[in-house]
Amino acid sequence: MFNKVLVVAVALVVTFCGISAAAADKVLTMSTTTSTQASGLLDVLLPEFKSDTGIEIKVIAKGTGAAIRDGMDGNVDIIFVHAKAREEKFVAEGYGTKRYAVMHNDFIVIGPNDDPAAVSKTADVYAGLKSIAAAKAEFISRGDDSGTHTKEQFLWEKSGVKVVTNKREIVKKGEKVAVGFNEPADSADWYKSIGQGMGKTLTYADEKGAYTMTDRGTYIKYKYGKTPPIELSILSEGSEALANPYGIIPVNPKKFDHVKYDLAETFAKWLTSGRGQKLIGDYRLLDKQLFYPDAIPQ
Amino acid sequence: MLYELNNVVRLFGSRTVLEIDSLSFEARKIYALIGPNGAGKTTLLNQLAFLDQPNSGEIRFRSTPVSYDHSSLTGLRRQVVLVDQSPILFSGSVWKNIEFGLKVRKIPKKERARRIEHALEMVTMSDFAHQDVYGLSGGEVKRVALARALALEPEVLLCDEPTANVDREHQEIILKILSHANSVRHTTIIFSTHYLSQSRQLAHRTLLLQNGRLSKNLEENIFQARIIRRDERLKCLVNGHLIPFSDPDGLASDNRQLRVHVDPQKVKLKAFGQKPVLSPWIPGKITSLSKENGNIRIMVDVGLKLQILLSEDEFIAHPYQVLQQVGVGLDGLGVTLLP
Amino acid sequence: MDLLVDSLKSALLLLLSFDPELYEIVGVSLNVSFFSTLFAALFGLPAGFFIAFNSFRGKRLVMTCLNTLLALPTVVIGLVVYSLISRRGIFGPLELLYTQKAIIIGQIILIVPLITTLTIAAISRIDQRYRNTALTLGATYYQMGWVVFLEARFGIMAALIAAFGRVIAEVGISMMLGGNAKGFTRTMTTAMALEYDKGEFVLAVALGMVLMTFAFVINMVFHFLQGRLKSDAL
Repeated sequence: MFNKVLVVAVALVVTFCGISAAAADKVLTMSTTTSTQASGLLDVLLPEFKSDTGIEIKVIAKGTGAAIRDGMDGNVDIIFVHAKAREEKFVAEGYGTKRYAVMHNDFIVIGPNDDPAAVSKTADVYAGLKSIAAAKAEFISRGDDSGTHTKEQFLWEKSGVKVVTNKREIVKKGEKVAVGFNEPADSADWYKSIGQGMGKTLTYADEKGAYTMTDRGTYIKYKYGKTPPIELSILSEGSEALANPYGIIPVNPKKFDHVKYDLAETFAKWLTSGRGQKLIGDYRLLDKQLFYPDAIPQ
Repeated sequence: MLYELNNVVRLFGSRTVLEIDSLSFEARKIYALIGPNGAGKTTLLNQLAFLDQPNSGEIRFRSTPVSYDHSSLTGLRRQVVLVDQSPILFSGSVWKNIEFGLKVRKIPKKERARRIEHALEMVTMSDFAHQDVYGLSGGEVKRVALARALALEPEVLLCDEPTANVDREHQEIILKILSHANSVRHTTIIFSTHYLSQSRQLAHRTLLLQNGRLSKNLEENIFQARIIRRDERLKCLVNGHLIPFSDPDGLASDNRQLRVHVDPQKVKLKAFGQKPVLSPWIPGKITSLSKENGNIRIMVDVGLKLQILLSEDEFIAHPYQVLQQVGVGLDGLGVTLLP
Repeated sequence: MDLLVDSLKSALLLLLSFDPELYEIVGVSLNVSFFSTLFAALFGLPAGFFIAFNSFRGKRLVMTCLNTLLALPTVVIGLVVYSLISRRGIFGPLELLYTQKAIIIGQIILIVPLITTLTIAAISRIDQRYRNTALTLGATYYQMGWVVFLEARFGIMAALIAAFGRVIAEVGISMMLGGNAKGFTRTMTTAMALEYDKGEFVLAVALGMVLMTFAFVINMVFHFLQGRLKSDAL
């Protein structure tokens, strides 16, 4: 008898503890990238949005491709990613109503302090990459088909360095897929594609004293927020090519009539309003600015 | 007739464990089943308890053929209780164990308590009422199981070796309880045992089971014997002859008087014609021949009346005659010491 | 080594400060795991019972299938259920994806074979003679079944504990079907995966400590029950 009572009591306690959020009526489901979530910006924005509008946002963070896919499948009401070409395609194909330009952060090229390829002396990132290729200095690539990796490949192509497409096998969602990566030609002894996330890539590059391309946010964390910090320094920054623009796109109610279009619009407009933009511009990661508002530049 | 069994056969795989042509039990009597291990006693008891079903043949209970569907069986089983040789007690207290059958019959609480207490008194385990069954000795388990059955006041009580694992003192008590249940409550009791003494003490009828079949041969071929020590070994003396013997119950001791049973199917015959009968053969004269159930029963006078069973084939090979002088041969396996 | 020690210190502080975010995450894990174990048991216990008690044609096949299902990776379950409950899937309109319900569904699929096979084992371990004893004392088949269930109770409880332990520690299903949404579907395991990815070890370690404590307690209970099993066999 006692056992039965115990079980019921435990059940009630557990149920009570576990009843989470969704008591709120107004819940907006948003997909975004893991790096956006990892930056901590949403932890600041979302509570402000909730207190302003009473709307709660359910954030599903995945890789860029998967986040966009969730929009295309109608699993979310709004997407917030940083892959401009794909976003525009998303709208063009009718999955999204409009791309709101929200903000940008940037990528940087980092490397060892002694800078054997003299990247810091180059005028822009393209020249910097050319130097690395010419010097055959060790360069670590994420090689995981992520947004950052896509950007990196794009930069190599545009830099003028000869690029070939190599077939690589990576693991995506637990399954092995063969993807074609654009990599510098004849680079087997200096270009290393490790198929890992940003953090691991930085750690690896740090240990090897190699060059790599990273987003500023992760770099800041690993340089100023970790013990022991990584030793690599910023050697190339500020080129327009290195900008990483973010867009927010409500999913098209014409395609999926169940999506909470009103709530999505509200958020998109709030994010691009003076209030939202100021919050974005004021956000600091370890005292460093990470995001630069685009809708109302400051 | 309480039970009637006709042509009941029970097979385990290809082995025939029980083959009963015709057997019946009357109500209110005590029956003993005697037989060596593997004779089929437990199998027979399971049939009578309706826990098992014959492969062929018919069993009637109270003149009605037993139908083996769930609801009929439950009704039947509520009239017949079997106590295993090594009984299983449910985890929990002694009380709860005895209570189980009563609860199942929806007997009200007060009555249950009365019966449980009474049953425990009968097996002299009243002190154990609320004890957990874990840690009870073999004998105590047996007595609880018996109490569990008695509390149900069944029509028929089946016991597989009721005194196995029980100490001497309590063996007598158990036998008394069985006798009491029969004389006062008129419970039909069918029990199996190795001990002829128990059957003599309690049973109205005794049945002998061997290799799954009934044997009539228990009352015959029992003789007075004396154990003597000769040449450092114990030997058995019957009517002046030293005969080989087997002693599964360990009864032999120097100078002890006891009885032996000679298995009629394990006696050899040899015709000597006009020649004298040579040792170790014992001389005798055939006094009767009769045919029964696939065997030929031969009575031989060796100073005592000895019954012998030969298969029909054996007899055809050696057709003996009445008044023929023969030699009787015994081997240890056919001669068993009895208490 | 410093990393681990520092993280452990900070984690302990976090735990003792009753950080609401941390405890919300623990609550989600408990809630989801509790209900998936409960519903899986509602199906698995009777199924295990039925299979253990009856012989029927194809019983061997069923047992083989069940044993095979035990090896189902969580990501496979996650993938299959995802394809069914995604908006484009058959059950899309039910709006299950990225909810705790979705995680519960996936976890139920994960542990039903476990509960069933362990129940079968627990029941089978109960000597046939228990059944006969109950029957000779006049029990109906249902009453007899109940007796066997009671005798097997420790084995069955062990089955449920094992199942709970399995789901509270899994991450594949929680991640794919829940989405790790903060405040909605963030469980201990998905949070740990996230924090690790972020390089935020403190929260990850704190959660890890909670999870290990659960695992430890669960295992203690499990072994205690198994011990009772053995002693009951006497």
